Amino acid sequence: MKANVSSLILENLSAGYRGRTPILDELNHRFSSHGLNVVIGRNGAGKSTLVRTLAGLQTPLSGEVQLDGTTLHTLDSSERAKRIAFVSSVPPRTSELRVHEVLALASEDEEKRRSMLTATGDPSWWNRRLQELSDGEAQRVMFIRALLQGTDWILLDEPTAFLDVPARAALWRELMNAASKGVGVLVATHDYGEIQGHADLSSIAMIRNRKLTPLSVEASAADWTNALVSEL
Amino acid sequence: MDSRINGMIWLGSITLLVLLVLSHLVWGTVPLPWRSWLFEGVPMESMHLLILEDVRMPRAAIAVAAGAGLSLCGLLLQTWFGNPLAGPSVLGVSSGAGMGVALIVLAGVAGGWMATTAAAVLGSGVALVLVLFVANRFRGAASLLIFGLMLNYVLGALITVLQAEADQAALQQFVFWGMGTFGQGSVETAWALGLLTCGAALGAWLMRKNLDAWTLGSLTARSMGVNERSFRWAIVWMSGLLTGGITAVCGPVAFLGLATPHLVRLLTRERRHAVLIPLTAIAGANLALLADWGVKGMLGMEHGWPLNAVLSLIGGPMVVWVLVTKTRSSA
Repeated sequence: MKANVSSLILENLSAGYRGRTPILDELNHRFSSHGLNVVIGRNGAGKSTLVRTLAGLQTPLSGEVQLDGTTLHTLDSSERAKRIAFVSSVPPRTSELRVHEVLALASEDEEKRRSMLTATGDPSWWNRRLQELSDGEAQRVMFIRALLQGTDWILLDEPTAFLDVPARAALWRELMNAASKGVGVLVATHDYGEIQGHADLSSIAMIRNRKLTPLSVEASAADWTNALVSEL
Repeated sequence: MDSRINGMIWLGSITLLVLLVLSHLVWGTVPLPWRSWLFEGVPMESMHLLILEDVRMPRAAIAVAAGAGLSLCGLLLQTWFGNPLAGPSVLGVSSGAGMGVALIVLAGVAGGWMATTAAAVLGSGVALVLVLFVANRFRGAASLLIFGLMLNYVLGALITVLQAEADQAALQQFVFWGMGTFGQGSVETAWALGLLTCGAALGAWLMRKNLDAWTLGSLTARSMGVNERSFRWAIVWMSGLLTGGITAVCGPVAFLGLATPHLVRLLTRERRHAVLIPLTAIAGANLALLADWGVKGMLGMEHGWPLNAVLSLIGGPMVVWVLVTKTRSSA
């Protein structure tokens, strides 16, 4: 269990592309790093924009993201990488690095790399090339890499988008597992059927009409879908 | 098993490098009295020493530096763009350097090798910045290559216009430069290229982890602490200086930058840049020295062939072969 709870606070955050209408408009919200935080939204609603901005990979149009009292976008990239890890929706398909070489980029501790791969993935992947793994396996390696970064937060942008059903279930299991151990996991996803009623789900919010609206963690996936499509 | 193969590759490529450099020093158009020097202790005449020190040594050094430098540049560009077909000559970077040289030599904007080199470096830098700008607009490997191709056409057209306007002597100088050669440099340019390539190799080696991370995609690499802006500028500077400097001295050398990294990937199963960088540099030097034997005219040929003809004859089929094997394995 990590002792400290980290928080990501959005203060009047507008995000998107310069010179166009903001995709997200003046958001105020707080994410806490215990359990699983989920953001849902329809295609094109701005999930990726939100996750990238919260991961410090995209500069806000206005407003700011506070990470435990520091303005996120003033951190330099190496400092930021110690606090927030990120997993994109597309597992890398062209990298010919071996799994242990990828993991070595995130942590210099070989024992830790081996035990993390065994606990969260499969030790037989160690010497295989990323290219040779299935999408689901590669995505789990990317998650293990993020875990090895040792950050308070791991942000994932639709991590299951390109995975088949068993691979989705396997990745969700690992996400829940990490969340229950005190890593702040924030996932933008379509795939929220998997998480309804789960004990480690600590918050769920939806992006709609450029705003972020909290939903009830107690509700069912059908309720969340209704919230996404209902008349305002 | 892998480490033993790697050891053999290292040993083999370094041995080959030493042998090739020696062969270029020993043999040439003018026979040097090696036998009497070696076995009878007769000192070489000053004319022979002059040939050795002012002609053969700089030529071999320039071939090594240019081969290694362009190949490194190809490796950097292939990793940066995540595109196996990237390379200084493909993306229009060499043409940018060529445009710079054309302005100096053909249009007579300024004179001297310093101006030529500066213009070539500037030209390749501008071309690369253009390519990067475009790469940021459209994602996608094909559009980038097509842009490089179009850049080559446009710059080629401008150079043709300059050629049409140029006087006879300047035109002849430019045409010979365009065929490419390692043999036109002085001792000073050999030193300059050598230092440039060593500096770039060191710089690339210092970035080896960033380059590895970059293969996971730019977002992931950035989230792991790679500073995109400084990384990009390091690539632009290194590729621009390498391609510009080498092109100013040797002409627009074809294929080496594109082909060598593939040859190395074919020989070794290593993909970490910590290994790819030194092996690519050595392999590039070896290929350049081999090609220069074709240029000098081996096997009793009366005249050698132009460097770019030799390189294209080796490089073209090699790239096609790489493409065929690559698509077969991924299909």
